[in-house]
Amino acid sequence: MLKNYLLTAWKVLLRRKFFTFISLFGITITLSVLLILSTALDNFLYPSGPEKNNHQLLFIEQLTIESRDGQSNWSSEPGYGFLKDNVRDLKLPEKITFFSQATEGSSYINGNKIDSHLRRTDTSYWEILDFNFLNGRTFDQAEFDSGQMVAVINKKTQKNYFSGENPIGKNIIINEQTFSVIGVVEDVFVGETHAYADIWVPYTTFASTQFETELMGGWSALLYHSNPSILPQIQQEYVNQLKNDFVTHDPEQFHKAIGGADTKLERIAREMTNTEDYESNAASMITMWIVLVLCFMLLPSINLINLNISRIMERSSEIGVRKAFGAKTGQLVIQFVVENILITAIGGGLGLLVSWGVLSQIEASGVLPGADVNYNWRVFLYGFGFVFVFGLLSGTYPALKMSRLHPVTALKGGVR
Amino acid sequence: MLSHIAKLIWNRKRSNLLIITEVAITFGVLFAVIYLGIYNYKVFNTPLGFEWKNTWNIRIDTGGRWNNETDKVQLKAIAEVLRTRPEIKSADVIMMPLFVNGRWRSVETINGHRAPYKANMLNHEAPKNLGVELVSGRWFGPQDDGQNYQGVMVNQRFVDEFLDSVEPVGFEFSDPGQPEAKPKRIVGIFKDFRQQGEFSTPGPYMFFRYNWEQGDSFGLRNIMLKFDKPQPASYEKDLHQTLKQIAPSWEFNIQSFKNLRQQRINEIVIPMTVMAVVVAFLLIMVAMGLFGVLWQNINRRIQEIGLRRAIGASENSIRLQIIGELIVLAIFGMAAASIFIIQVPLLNLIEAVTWGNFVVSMLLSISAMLLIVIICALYPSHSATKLSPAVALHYE
Amino acid sequence: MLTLNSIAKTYQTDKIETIALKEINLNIKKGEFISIMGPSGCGKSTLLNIMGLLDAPSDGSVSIDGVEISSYQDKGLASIRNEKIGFIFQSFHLIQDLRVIDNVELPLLYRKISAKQRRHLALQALEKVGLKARVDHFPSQLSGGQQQRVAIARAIVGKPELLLADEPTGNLDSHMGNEIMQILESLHKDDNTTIVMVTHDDELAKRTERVVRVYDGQLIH
Repeated sequence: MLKNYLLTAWKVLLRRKFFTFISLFGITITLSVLLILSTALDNFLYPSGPEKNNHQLLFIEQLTIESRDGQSNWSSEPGYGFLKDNVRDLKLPEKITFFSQATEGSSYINGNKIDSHLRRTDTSYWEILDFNFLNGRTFDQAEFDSGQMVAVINKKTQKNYFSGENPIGKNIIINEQTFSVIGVVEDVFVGETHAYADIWVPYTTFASTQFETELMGGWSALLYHSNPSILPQIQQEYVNQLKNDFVTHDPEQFHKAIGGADTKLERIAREMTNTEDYESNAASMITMWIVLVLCFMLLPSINLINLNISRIMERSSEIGVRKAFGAKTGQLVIQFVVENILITAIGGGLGLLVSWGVLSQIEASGVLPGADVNYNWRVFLYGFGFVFVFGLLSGTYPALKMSRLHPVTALKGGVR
Repeated sequence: MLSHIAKLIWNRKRSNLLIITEVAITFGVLFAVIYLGIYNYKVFNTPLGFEWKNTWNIRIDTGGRWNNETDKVQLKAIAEVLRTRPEIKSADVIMMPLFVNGRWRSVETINGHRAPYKANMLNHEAPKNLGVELVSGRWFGPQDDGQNYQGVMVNQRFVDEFLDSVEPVGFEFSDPGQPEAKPKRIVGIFKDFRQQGEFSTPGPYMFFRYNWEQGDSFGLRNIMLKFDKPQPASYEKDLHQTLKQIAPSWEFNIQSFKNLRQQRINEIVIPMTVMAVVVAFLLIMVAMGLFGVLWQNINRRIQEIGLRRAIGASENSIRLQIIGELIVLAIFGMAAASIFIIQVPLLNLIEAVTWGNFVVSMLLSISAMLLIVIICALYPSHSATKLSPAVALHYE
Repeated sequence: MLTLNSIAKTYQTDKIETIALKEINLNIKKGEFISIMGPSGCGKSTLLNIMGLLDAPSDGSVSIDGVEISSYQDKGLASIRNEKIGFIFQSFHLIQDLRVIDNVELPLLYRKISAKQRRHLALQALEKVGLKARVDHFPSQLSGGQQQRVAIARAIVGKPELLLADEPTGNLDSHMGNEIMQILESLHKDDNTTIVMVTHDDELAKRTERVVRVYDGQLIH
């Protein structure tokens, strides 16, 4: 029976090439845009690089401080001093790492300037994040403690600075500090904001030690637990620390600390919704996304509804004849919905192809360094979801309208 | 004839509702894009108020909070060393660097207005060296030291918006929240200073003066170097070494304004381009949809068209009627969308929306929409008159 | 007032040539009431279409009021149809989305007449067919006979000299058909309108002044 419906649908689509083309064009464009966006989002939420275990991680990267009189507040990344006093001694996380934001570093070689991003880290950073070492190793606790001038670089830096030759044991000068290269890792996608950098060095190599007392600015922390279901308890522990045991050296100015240890999704939500609270507002962000996507799908859907209705009206006498010969309304509606789903599915397939082309162009162009924007089963699932919603959005109303068509009026083709 | 068309469309409002909705949404999208385009084009072509060529920015990272007692000395030392170099025409310091997203915003009550403005702090030679143009009054300088006022400078927009009724040069105002602070006195007016670059919204701006001896509790972390000619990367290495020698515990990041400006432009232009491409496809899609629907509509109305011709309508008047009908439909849709759009300037929902730009973009979007609609109607209206009336009347 | 001079009409479809009319000569005098009869497919509708300038003959000439119109372009034909000819169809051909009054006003839209004047003339025409009370109804709210009366009002609103009716009673029962016929007769008698009516119905044909029979595309006298 379904085969029969599909066959008829296919013939109808072929017979009305022009309308099929217009519909396909619209569906393909819409779904391509949505697929590209969802692929980007997917790569962001479920990275394939060092942050791939981010379901076991919590991020502390935003902090708001209020003065005692409540007149002033500051909001930025936390400072090292804050992390040392308030995060280091949390009990629940299995591992904790502190590291600086990636800052710009300049190197000069053969009269050229090489801009790179420099990150200063501790040793547990390398245990928590899963870097893919191509060569060498990372620094150990002894090297870290004694402030050895050693660096891990990425493949890009190896290519730019050492012309691709084996850099292990060679020196690299960044911001006029000389480091000895001990390891090379695969390039990291910039979307993995905490792993991303070009050069990683121990934070004990900082020229100044002033950072150790700073409450605000320039640092982040990751909290790790091998069991993701423990993470909510860790979030609670951190919030309790801020609420009840906040350690501050300047209780007048820096009186109250507000922030949270966020999962990756909550992090994005906090950033997008500008939330300065213990909670991250993830729910409202997801609602916002859904509304936006539906809005974006609205215009092509109305377009398709219009076309569909025109198609039905054109075929109203055919529908009248079928009804007159005893076709049940339900069957006609199914036939129509099958047609609509078929065309949406074809459009979805084309959309997958187009977005695949665009994405591989983006990857090849190098606009997003280290990006590995590719489909996976999740994106296919999104695509399937979009196709379904789209088909439903644009197919239901016309089908309903058709089902109400009275056989006699339909035969006359006179429908208002 | 027009009222006849309006009557027809009104009586067919149910079946036309979706087309009208589609036109309305499309019109909204079109308007937003055209408005953004016009706005950004105008803003981009508004003079920056300063020169950025052959100028570099050195950003300083002191490794922690600004310690005014020691850091102001080091900053001054660096500037003095740099000024002795022959290729450096000027070395100045500024709080909020050029072509970055960061800004310093302030709100005060000035001359009875609630006056939000952006501000910056720089040494008194800096504006001149950057090519900022003095409109009236004088530059601030050492003569303002030790007075019973704090000398500030504002741009022309500041005067236009807040000081319309008074003589701006010499105008004094103070912040009631800080009664112990000296009042600010406007000693001079400069043309403009669009610190955040070409795409930033022009607005009131104020310069505070940085005093090398006093320093500032927040600190200034940007040094701007103006050269007589472009400098190579090897020079940058040399400069970096020099800086490190003077201040070994500080980190420096050197960027030419040329690069910073380009980055800033790309940040705006690339997403705009992506959006424009998506919208273009959206419009093509809608145009094709309208075309299809219209064609189908015409096919359904062939008998009616036959009748009209039988009772004396010429081919031309049929064509005009079909195009006219679609135009009236489009007007309905655009009117519906406009009810929502007009709220933006009426309620001042978005600060940057001005009536001038609004009207121009409205006219442009209306023309664009009508153009799309007319193009969509051409072929169907042509095909509508292809059949002879006798055939059309008996068309099933 | 209308003269058909050796009219022929052939239809060309792919390879087959169909002859619809051949060698038709017919002269209709002012004020005549003529009926055209013939079996289905004999070409009587084609003949009416040619008389109404809806279709061009393949051969021969049509003159109206002594003027040969075969050289006229679309615009000229349209204005003659508008001013001199009124049409009544078997299936009424009312525009469903317009009210009765707007349907009747339709021909006047293609003339330069003020809206007020249009309304006045349309009301007059509707009064003549006895439907003044139904001005604001939509066609779908009327019976078949009423719809045809609206169509007649539309045909006469422009005061044409020639009324062409293509089986005006074909879709109606005999009672309503009789009503329509009475209206046509009074139009003929009172206003001296020339009427050409295509019909199947011998009874109706007998009530006209002259009957023309068409068989296989030719006139039989």
